[in-house]
Amino acid sequence: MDHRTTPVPGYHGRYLRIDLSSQSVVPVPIPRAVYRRFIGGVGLGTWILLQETDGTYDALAADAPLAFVFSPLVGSPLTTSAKFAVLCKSPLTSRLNDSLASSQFALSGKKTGYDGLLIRGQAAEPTCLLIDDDGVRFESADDVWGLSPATTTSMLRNRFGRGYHFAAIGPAGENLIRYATISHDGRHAGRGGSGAVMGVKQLKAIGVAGQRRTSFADPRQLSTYSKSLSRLSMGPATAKYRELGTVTNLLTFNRLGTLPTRNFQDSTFDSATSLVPPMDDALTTRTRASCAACTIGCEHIFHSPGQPDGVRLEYESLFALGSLCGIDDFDTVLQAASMCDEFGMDTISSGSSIAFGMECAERGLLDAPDLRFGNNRALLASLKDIAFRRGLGDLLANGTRDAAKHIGGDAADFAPHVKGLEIPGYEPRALQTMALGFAVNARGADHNRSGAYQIDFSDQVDRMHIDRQAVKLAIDTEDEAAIMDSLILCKFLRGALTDRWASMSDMLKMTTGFVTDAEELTDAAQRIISAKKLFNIRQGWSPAEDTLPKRFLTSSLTSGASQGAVISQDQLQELITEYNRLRQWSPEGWIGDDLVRTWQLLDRE
Amino acid sequence: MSIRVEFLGVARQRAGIPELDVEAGNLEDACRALCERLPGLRNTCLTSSGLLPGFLASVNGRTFTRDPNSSLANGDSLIILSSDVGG
Repeated sequence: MDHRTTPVPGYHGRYLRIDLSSQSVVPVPIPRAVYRRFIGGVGLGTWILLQETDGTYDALAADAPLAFVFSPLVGSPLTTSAKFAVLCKSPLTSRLNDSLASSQFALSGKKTGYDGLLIRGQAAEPTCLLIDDDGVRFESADDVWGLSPATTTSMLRNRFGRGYHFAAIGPAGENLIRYATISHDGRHAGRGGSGAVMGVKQLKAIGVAGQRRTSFADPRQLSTYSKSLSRLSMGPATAKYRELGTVTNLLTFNRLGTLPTRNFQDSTFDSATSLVPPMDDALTTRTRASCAACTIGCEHIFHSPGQPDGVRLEYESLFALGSLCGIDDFDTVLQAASMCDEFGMDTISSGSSIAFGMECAERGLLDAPDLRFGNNRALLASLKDIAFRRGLGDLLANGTRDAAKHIGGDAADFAPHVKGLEIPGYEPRALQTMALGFAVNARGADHNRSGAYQIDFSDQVDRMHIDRQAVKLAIDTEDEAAIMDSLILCKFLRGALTDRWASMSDMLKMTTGFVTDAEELTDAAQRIISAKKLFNIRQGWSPAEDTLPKRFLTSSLTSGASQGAVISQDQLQELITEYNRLRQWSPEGWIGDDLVRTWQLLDRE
Repeated sequence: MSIRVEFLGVARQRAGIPELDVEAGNLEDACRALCERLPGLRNTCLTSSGLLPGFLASVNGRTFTRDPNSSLANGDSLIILSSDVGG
């Protein structure tokens, strides 16, 4: 075997290219050096997409690549490491989309013997891919087309065996909703519309099973370290997630005046307390769950009279389907979140698109008399209309940027997105380091690829009046996220790691044998983030995209603890220019050929 | 100086109440007073000299601090919350 492709511990040394059109597969070797440069997960997936594509292409073209990528930590006893990344060109943003999801699909997927699955082409009929030790099968999915991800998974496991774990799309993916998810075990690769990329390929589900484990570089030390990490993960740093779940953020954000409300017209919501049931609530009970191989247990599943089977709820779903739409009824939010799960739709973009529609209707830009903030029935009806592209739902199904173009007038000024990706539950005027993170991030407004809100919620900056000193701090959070998303580790572990860079170096060494330090990992982060930018430049990125909608740059907040906060265009641009300088990009954000070579972003001419 | 202390998230769970008025000139004073009056907070969120790791204070919801010497003015709201805000 060629030394350059001899598997490194923690890896299989190859990915599998699958062509749905020709029903053919090709194993593709991954050079050893690539692993050290891109690690796995989001980093490795970005490298694969750069290798597999060249110029611009339509995100929903039949041959558009869709990558499922694993990481060196998957299969190890390290807590929270059972994760996989999904990468593609987003049909919502037309830029790079990288989503993460957890659980058994990651564990079984890696045991198929590949570090990634790269899917191209388009099936002639609804199809289920099965990948196991015997190879790849292309099975009909006619009988599950139109069904929810959960029902699909249940039926496919009954048909093909309990040993398979499935990632599946729902009706939203089939109907090419631009923010359709890929679902697995009730969790989702949620943002950016990777479910629509599966849908256009007529790929309803992927089932994985296998027995091919990788070795690890130092299994004994890995075992000892993993036990210690698990203990840390159950300590006070993660108590919030374990005891209350992320829904508790809603009351905190409301108090701090950072809670997006009524399509970002306000940053406090008068009825916030009705959206978070107390722990001893008589009508709403909750149970806890966790991802596979996770000791934190952050999932809180709420059971109410209207939702007796329970609905998993996070802050992002609660704000988007609650305060953002002016909804003050918790049971309605639970029902809405359940519908998003059933259809396979991103809750943030779903809620944002409807909230945007509500504001357009209230301003007379849309003829929709029922579409009003606080109208529970309108919220639920709109979700269904979006999933099946009925009436106004067809317009909102393409996201707020596209809808604003069609609606016209000044709608684009208050369409809440960056690069087409709807803004998550962090008011950027009141969290200005996060505002920078939203503006420059490769996949658009995103709080997982940039954790800059951590800086705003600290004593390091004045969150409503940040200056250039905050830029390096924002970059540090982005770098950290790039490595965590490549290893792949849950970000809820952050608080439990005293020296995160040292801890991540240790984990990489024990699994792969790579001896790294903070400097090398920071370089890897810079490389991964530059590689994402290079992908976007190939797809038509321009500096004008790195901004916020006009509302955030001209209208100040009018209530609560963040009253008066606004960030000006000039201020934001100064921050962006400084960001580009520190990233070693041109002042406008372009990447030169010399940097592509220096950082070894490509392995082909 | 009279300070209103508000508890959010885990801190509210530990305190068992949403808010409490105390006399304090800085964060350390406030922590000392809270330890005496709300034993559920002692050694879970704070000690008599300051906040434990994992917790953060906000003055009036605008600025954040963990510095025990952070001064407080009469009528200030001191919010005790998890330092891992967001997520």
